[in-house]
Amino acid sequence: MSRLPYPALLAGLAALTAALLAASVRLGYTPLDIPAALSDLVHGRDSLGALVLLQLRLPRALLGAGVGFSLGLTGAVMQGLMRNSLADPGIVGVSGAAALGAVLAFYSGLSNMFALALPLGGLAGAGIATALLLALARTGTGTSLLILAGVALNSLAGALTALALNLSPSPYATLEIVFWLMGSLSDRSLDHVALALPLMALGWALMLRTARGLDALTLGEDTAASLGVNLRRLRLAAIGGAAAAVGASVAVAGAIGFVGLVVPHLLRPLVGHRPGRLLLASGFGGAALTLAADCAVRLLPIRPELKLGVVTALIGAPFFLALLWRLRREAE
Amino acid sequence: MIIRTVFCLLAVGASLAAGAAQAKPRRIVSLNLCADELLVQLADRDAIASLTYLARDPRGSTVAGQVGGIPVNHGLAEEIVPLGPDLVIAGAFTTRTTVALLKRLGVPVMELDVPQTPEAAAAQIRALADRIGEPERGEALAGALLAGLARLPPPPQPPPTAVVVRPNGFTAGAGSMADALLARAGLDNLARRHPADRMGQLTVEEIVTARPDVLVIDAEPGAPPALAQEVLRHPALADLKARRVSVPGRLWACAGPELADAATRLAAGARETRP
Amino acid sequence: MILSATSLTATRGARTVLEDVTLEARPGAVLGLLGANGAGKTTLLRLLAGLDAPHAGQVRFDGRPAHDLGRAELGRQVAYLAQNGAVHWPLKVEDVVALGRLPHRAAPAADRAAVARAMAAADVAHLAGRATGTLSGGERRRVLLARALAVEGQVLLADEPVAALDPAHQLHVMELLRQVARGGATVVVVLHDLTLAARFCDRLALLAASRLLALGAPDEVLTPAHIAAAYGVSVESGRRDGETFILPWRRIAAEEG
Repeated sequence: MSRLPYPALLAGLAALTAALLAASVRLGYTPLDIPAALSDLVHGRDSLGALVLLQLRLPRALLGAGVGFSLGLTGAVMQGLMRNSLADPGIVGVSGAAALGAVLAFYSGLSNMFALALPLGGLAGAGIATALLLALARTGTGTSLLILAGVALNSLAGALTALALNLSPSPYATLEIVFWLMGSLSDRSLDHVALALPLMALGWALMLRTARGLDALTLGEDTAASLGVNLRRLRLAAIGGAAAAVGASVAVAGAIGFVGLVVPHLLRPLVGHRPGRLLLASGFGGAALTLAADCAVRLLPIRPELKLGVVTALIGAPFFLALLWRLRREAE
Repeated sequence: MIIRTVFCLLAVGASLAAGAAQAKPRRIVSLNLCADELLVQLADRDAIASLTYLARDPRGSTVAGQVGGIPVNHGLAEEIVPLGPDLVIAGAFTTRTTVALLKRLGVPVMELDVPQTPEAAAAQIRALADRIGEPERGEALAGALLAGLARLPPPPQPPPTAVVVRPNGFTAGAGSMADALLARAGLDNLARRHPADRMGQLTVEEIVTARPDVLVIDAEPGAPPALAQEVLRHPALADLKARRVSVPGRLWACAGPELADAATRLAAGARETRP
Repeated sequence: MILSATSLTATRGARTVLEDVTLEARPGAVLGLLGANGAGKTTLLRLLAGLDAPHAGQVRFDGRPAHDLGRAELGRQVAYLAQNGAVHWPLKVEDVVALGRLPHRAAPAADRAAVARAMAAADVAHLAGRATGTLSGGERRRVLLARALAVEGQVLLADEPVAALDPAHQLHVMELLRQVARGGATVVVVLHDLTLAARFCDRLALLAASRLLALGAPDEVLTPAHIAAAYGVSVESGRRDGETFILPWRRIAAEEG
């Protein structure tokens, strides 16, 4: 198999992400003259087109890219850290716990008092779940343990989320569980971007620093440590980064599943299975997949539009089963 | 246990069937918030056996301050039957299983549909008043509604355009009470021209692009946090140079004189948009 | 680099797994660690590698304690070959070997040269493009040895490097370790094969029941009495071409007490 050079792969994925970002901006529910709107925006002219572009199209596209990058990157980092290809923030319950944290911050009214409470709530939930999982799955490869822990975490977080929403005084709250469990990017605003993107970027920076350590972890914790890797710092960076990125993502877009599973798995052979190189590639891959799925929900003639998580689950769940099937065959 | 309940239900049903249906009902039960509001205004207080729990919530109810002391129900048959009602008022679309059971037991049930015009609302008020033996009060209440609408100022020409934005991006399309009130207030409802989907939902982008002169926000200040409310606070709507009129849902959700208040607010908004 | 251990004691929970071990490994020589299963060989090697901190005692590199060198410098100077070398992702062989260059941050060309040298030395150059998942057990062991060699550190610590290897490759690896030592490195190797220990190590440390039973030249350490005490076996031995071979022959009843 001829392998694509790594820089070319990254450039290709980045270009794909950029193209889908542009497509996402073009796609809307009303016709929009984008060059004119852009020119209005640049020249500070107060036009309807500029308003739609700045407050509706751009936030949606940027959040799609940011959320997808976070999920893809986090999936790659968690898989590298646990040395298990099934470690996806959605499957192992990190996204669910982030949703719980965000739900508590939102429906308690805390995020009305100070806006940052929303992503920070998500961060707290994701952080607790990731730390818990890692404590369980530190020795690596314990697939059944990891999945069982994920099932337990997911159902606990889901139940507590439902409970919190049921206890909320708002008549709409109980219906909104669908948003938190399936995720959506519709009618998000620039406020959401401002709220989530800095925290996501912090998470990315932390996680991208783990590349060397994750490469070394391929040979186990002892060998990695003998290669000068500070395992404690590596775990902290991975957990902290994953919590920040997933927490911020889920807080503004709900728990979008399977991106962190599918993307690293598809890209792994293209980077020679090297966990470190998988990180940036999975980030771009996740952004591309999420943007594509978000374009799909707007193109499908279904209104009100499908939740984004429905589309990623339609792609991801069969993929997950196929992966389990193959792991089972390999175990035999 | 089950058998005893059934016996009890049968006994109540039998006694109800035997009782004189023509007399003024004395044990009225409401299963619907709109019926709650009308009963409080039309019936003697001691004739009301039970209202819905929603009647006590000031966020949705126009009569929350007047229902203290009246027992409440959650629309469950097990709650209703022991009350021995001689009339149950229900919505045409809600608590269907309870209504079906009550009808089988022979309990008289009056179902209120959702009126789509002020005239239909007035007719509903009169019908309910007649049924509970208070026609004079009904006439007065219906008259207050129609008089309130008659007092509206003449509509500005040409009529300003408007879109109703409700939580979750729901709007008021053609054939709704809100649409009728907008027309009375002299507003041109853009949702009529811009057919919303089946669910009557609009995306923020569609609302913004429709360029309404007036945004009618169906929101309650101080409502508990919910994603549904986020649409109403979306920065794109805030940046839109449109006049905002706030009409809480409780003002136009039911037949009642408060419909005139809603129309008055809308009319005020309509007149301020044009110099 | 002189690697010295002074009064090392290690505990696991309430149990003492290594007690008061003092020894020294010098550049240019191979030090063999021997002992029965559970005698504390791997524990000692991990302490020497700086992977664990001792409960008491000290490990020094040219007289400097491990924390004095720092994690990165330790990574460049001390190569550690783990006993159960797993490779968790199906990396290409050359990528696995290149992981040995991780601590160095050297010029890519220098790293590539070191990787090539290590692969050639461990006789895995022909496997360079293969995925590790497709290798046999012995091939994988040699690839992991090449990974440790690629560090090109002054100390090489190898935990049972010949386990799972065929006889030819066992001899090859032992020759290689001796060659690395002759090149100036300090080599410490955990072994179970008494003949290989006698033939290829310059000095031996024999552990029994968490303590150092004997330390010195192979002839001094591998006496029938020491072997009986450490392993509970009698041996048959002889000499050929001036070198000793020792074969475990019979189990003998362990002396209670």
